[in-house]
Amino acid sequence: MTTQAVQDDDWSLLAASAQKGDKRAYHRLLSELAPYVRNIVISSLPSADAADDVSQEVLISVHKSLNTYSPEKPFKLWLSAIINFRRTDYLRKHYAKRDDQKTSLDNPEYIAQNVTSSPLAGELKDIEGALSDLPDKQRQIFQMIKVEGYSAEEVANKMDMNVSAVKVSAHRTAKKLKGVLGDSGQ
Amino acid sequence: MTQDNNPKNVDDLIGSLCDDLSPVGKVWCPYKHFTLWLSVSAIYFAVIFFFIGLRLDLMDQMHDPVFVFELVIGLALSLTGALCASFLSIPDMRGMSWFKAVPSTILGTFIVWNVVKACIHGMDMPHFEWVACINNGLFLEAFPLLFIIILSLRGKTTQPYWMTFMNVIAVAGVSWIGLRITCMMDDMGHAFMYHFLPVSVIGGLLILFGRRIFKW
Repeated sequence: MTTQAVQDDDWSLLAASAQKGDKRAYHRLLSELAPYVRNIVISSLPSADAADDVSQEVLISVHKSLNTYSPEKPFKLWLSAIINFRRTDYLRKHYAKRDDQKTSLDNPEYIAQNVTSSPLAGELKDIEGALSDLPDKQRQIFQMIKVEGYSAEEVANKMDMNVSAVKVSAHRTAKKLKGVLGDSGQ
Repeated sequence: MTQDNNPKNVDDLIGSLCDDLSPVGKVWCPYKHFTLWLSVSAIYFAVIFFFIGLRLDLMDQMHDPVFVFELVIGLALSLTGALCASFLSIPDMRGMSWFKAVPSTILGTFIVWNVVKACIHGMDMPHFEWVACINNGLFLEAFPLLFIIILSLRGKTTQPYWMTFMNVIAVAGVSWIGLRITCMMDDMGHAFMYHFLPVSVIGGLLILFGRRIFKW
């Protein structure tokens, strides 16, 4: 019998015990599954963080669907159906949010190509973080005016707001960011 | 989440999942799921037929091989669709993922059959009116559809779109049979507009929401 087959049998037994409420067997099963799942998904996902997220999702899904496993059937077949489901789900969300077109400031290649003063990369990351904490609408107004260079009138037209509300929002956001970034710098 | 704190997070997660563990009852065997849906739907159909009434020339029609073939193909579509939905409620389909090809092929045959029939006999499309067949079709479909979705939700599907598709096929098959044995109109235009189109539209919309319906 191959190592793979032994592992499958072993996991089948652990899953069967877990179905009866054996917490030690369940702990062992999940502990062995975590690195296995991560190794499987890491090559098809954009980052190690994504692989961690998906592996955790898979563990939660295993927990939720434990009652659907039949110990007479191969465990890995059941597990791989869950892994593929969660991986596809992650990738669908990833592409829907256009995350594939974003880059992290942790990416050294991006910093080398696009950040002229690399010591400032950390500050850019702080700004990015502070912006992401803002409510969607507020962030959008701020980015359109301060980053993309739209006038307050243009933003007001695009967002169906009045001009003074746009100006007030941009001003308040700038003030808020100053506060946040000032605090983090101290 | 960063890589540095991930091992701790995974350990915490495993710890909390283990704390949450309690003995689980096994999910129904797919055949049990299928049999329950079939039995309850059959009783429901019997009640609906009692109220709607069967077509008057049903006994004569049963001697027509074309009519019988259409009932058989509807029944095959429904039974295989329901059985496939039962397997789909298990993440790995118990190794039966090939079975999706069976109702899909029968559906293909059903569509080709109707296209050929329309080509041979011609198809006069009637102007759309809210006729009794639409109401009857909705009555015939509503409960079996709801019931098969509820049964499917007891499992954990990893293929939500296929699951919705099979649920719709199962119900479309019985609805087709129901309308063939209650409606006297045999022309293709009527069958397409009032028997086939409503269930296709409802089914198509449901399939679009498949992922939301079977989210877990």
